[in-house]
Amino acid sequence: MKIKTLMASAAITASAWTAAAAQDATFYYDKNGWDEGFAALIEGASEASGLDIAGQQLTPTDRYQAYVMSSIAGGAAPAIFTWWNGKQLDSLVETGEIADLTELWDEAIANGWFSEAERELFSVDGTPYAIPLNVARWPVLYNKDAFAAAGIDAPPATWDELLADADALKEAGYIPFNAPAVGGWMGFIWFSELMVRTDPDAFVGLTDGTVPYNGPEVQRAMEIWTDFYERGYFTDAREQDETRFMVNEEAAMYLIGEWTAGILANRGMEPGEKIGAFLMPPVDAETENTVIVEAAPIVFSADAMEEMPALMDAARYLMSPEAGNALGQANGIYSGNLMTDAPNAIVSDVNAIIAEDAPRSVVRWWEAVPPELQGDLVSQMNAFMLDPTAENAQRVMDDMQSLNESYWAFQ
Amino acid sequence: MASVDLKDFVKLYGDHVAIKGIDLHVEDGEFCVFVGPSGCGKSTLLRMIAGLETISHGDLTIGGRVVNDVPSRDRGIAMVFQSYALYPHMTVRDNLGFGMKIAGQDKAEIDRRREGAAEMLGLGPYMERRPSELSGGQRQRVAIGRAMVREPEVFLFDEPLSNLDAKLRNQTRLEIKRLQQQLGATVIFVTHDQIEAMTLADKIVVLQDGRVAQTGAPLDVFERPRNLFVAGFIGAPAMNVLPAEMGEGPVVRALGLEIPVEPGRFDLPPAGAPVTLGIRSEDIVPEGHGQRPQTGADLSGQVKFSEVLGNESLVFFDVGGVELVSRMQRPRPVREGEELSFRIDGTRIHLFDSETETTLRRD
Amino acid sequence: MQAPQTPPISAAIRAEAHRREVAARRRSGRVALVFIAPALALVALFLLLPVLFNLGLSFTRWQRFSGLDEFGGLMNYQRLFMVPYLSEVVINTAMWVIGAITLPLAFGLGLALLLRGVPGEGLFKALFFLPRVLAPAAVGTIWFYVYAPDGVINTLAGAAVGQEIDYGWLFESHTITPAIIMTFVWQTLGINMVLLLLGMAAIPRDPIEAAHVDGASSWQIFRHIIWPLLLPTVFVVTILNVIAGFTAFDLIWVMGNGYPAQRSLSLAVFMYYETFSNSRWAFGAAIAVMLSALVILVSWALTVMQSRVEARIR
Repeated sequence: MKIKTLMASAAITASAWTAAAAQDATFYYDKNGWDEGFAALIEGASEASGLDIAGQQLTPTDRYQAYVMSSIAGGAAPAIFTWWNGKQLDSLVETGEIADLTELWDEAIANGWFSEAERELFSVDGTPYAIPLNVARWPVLYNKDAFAAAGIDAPPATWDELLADADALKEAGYIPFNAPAVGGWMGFIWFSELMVRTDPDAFVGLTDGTVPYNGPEVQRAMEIWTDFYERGYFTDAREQDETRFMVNEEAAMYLIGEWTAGILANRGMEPGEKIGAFLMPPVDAETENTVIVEAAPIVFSADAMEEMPALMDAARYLMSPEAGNALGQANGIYSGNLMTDAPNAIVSDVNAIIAEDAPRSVVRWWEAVPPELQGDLVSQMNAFMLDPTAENAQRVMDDMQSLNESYWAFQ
Repeated sequence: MASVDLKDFVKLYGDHVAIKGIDLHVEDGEFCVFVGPSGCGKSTLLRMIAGLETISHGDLTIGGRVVNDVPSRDRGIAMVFQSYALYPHMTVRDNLGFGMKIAGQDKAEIDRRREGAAEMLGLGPYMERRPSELSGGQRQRVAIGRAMVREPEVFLFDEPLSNLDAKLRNQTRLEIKRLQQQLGATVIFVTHDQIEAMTLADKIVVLQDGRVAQTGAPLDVFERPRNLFVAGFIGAPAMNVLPAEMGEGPVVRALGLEIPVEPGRFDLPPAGAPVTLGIRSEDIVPEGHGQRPQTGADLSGQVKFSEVLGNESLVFFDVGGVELVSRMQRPRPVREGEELSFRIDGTRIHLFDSETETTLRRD
Repeated sequence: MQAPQTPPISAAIRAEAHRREVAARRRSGRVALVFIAPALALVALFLLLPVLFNLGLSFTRWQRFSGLDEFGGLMNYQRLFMVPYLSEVVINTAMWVIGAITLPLAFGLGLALLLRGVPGEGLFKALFFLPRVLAPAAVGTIWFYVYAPDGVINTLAGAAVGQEIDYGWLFESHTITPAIIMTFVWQTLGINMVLLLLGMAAIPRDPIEAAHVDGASSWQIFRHIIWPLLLPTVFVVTILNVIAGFTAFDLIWVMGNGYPAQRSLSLAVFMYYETFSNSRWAFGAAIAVMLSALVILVSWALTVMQSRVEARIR
């Protein structure tokens, strides 16, 4: 039997089993802990389209991806599902199973819901194939009390100020940065940030194979990273509770996606009052101001869209300010819609910073890098964090480059 | 070879007293058999001598040396087990040589003793086989050979024949006796089979409930059982035992008969006193079979059933509600219910004190 | 007197006898088939079919989404040898196999010998067996914190030397595998001990007593009598341990969570990582085939040795 046929029958069996035939369409997602928000989105989408849409959560992510991939391999893509942008979206779109959403985006931009910048995040070769579930920028969250205790009046605007503030925080008894390496993926956070702050173009070049992982650009970022460790700027990377040192106020700053504001709020650190946000300044004054953006897309099956034109109304709803507000109220998640209310003070702070500085958006490394390289490379970065010496930095760079090279050689 | 002395042997298992004070002397070169029913303590006693059980109290002397706290290997003993206890993963050759090998004997000596034992026991053709490839009799011979090569001062046998079939058992019994005589060995042999005990022993030790019931030469024990237990245990079929009463004359009254008693042989109680009468089956002679006893008493009874053994039959018959057994020499077929006449040999009767169950004999 | 003549067996009688034998065998064969058919069907459906599917998949160029199943020959197998950290995977797996065979066996045997006839034997046995009934994931979580930089081991060691220790047992390449193996030993020595005790209980007492009388010391009795007679049990335990060692996954998955090169901690984890985290299904299938082949080969060799040893002592 052809594997494709077998996959198809397996997928059909699975979908028949998970979603009863009574529904018109099923909305699959793997996002844990956003149940209330998804319930609101699905209800709104059903109302807007007149379709009976059911929600279906599948975890963990491994299993979720395997399920979606085998469904598509079998020619039966789920009608609506969440995915990842960047290279992950590229290879998904390559299958030809995903609906083109150009008209919807034209409409949304005309309505003032989104800008061209967001459209770009969800496009493959200039054509938008997805709508945003969540758009998260990666600022530095900081403990306002710690800054006050260290005598820091305003967040750093230059690299020198950042270093001075870090030293002042150390002086005041704080570890400047909370830098966990939990769950096997957090290694890329500081690596990407330091790349972006030294050479944003090289950062983009890393993800398409044009810049080597052991070239002078990376060398420079790794030197800073090693230096920061030497200066004692980071918390112990072996800690498994990622927000522990922020919550117990041992650490003062946390470079992370803005969705973490919700997690910290749940642990008693109110955004705006206790926690503030700033964008890390570039290392050299002439470096282009940049922000790393993580975007979670929702995609639609092309076949389902053709069979049920009303599905477009569901998509329109999911892009709307109402949907964005529903998700924001339920789970503190920001959809990126410019006409929604910011769900918390951090998002509004970042919105203000972006409105003022208009930094360049770059896709987060995780999504930008080819999926087959993600795990192998990030584990090297994690390894560096556990042994942050110059010697290990060199080994990590060389290993990353050899993996990178062999991947691109195969393409 | 050496003599073995047990002095006031006691074995305790927690609160249970298994051996209740035994004194015994085994001569150098003597074949001594411990016999008794199961649970009498005979195996325990042997294992205490072997050093497999501690001696709770008392002294064990082998060849004039007190060995209470000496480990098995230094007691100068060798043991043959009921199950043969061969090392299943070793060849016959290695089984025979194991003890000497671990003792660090030199190879020439090991070979000399091993070849000697193998030749004596006819094990030559089986030296490279493992126990699983041998018959029961062959295994038994290996077990004996393993004991022999140790050249012990005392051989200990723990019911070594009970796993053999009847024919092989008789054969091996003879072989053991022959070997013992050839080696002039001191042997202590445990069995529950009184025929084995009778045929093998120079000295029989009858054990009952952790005590010695009687010690003596086989015939001695057979002819002069010291108490009812020994009388019943030694000899097959078991001795006929019946309640009786002393009469004038002197006579013993039982089954309505008066059997005259030789007065000099017994310490007789006064007339009218109760006694226990014991008569072996061969001493109740069926009319017309064998020599008619000169003194005694005649009786007749109704045959219940008979066991035909070929050269003789055991006739079980009923006299006034009491069942007796008689041995019929040169037997003829008897039917159930047939009336037969017998004569009791008055010179061979046994009398026991009804209370203490000990013999009333003088000698 | 002349011995009675045996009547000659005719060819017809021989043929008849053969026919009856065959018929009887066929009848019982048919009955047997009826009884094992449900089990056979289940095995075929849930075991044989997936195995064959996996084998087929390992020879394809299967890629995410596309479901391409064109024949790729030995591509995936060749790729295995191009993995830069293959040597780490192999070394760690070898450590697992050797550690998983010898340590639980050695400790289990030691305990079995130690606990025989000790007062409170049953309680001790139950105690040592207890970890076995816990889910490996739960065991892994507990031990993750035991080995943590501020965990029990460092605290005790620190108290012993009077100096703070915050060594990351599960974060250093040269201690992580031994540390997880020790947890595995902790969990499995109980079952090893129980199996060995069962094996020992089956050894007759008499040869041991005979050896005692023959002059053997306790060590010599163990070395020359108990050990050879226990060997078949030892082989069974070893086969179980080999399979456990090769397929070690749960503990590594949980305890190696903070270790950057987790995927290279064992072949099984490597297989899972490539298949599901990296979505290289065909490659993962090839690793699975190699892993199975190794396990089957080693188990088969051990089974052969086991039956030889068993034949020797029967």
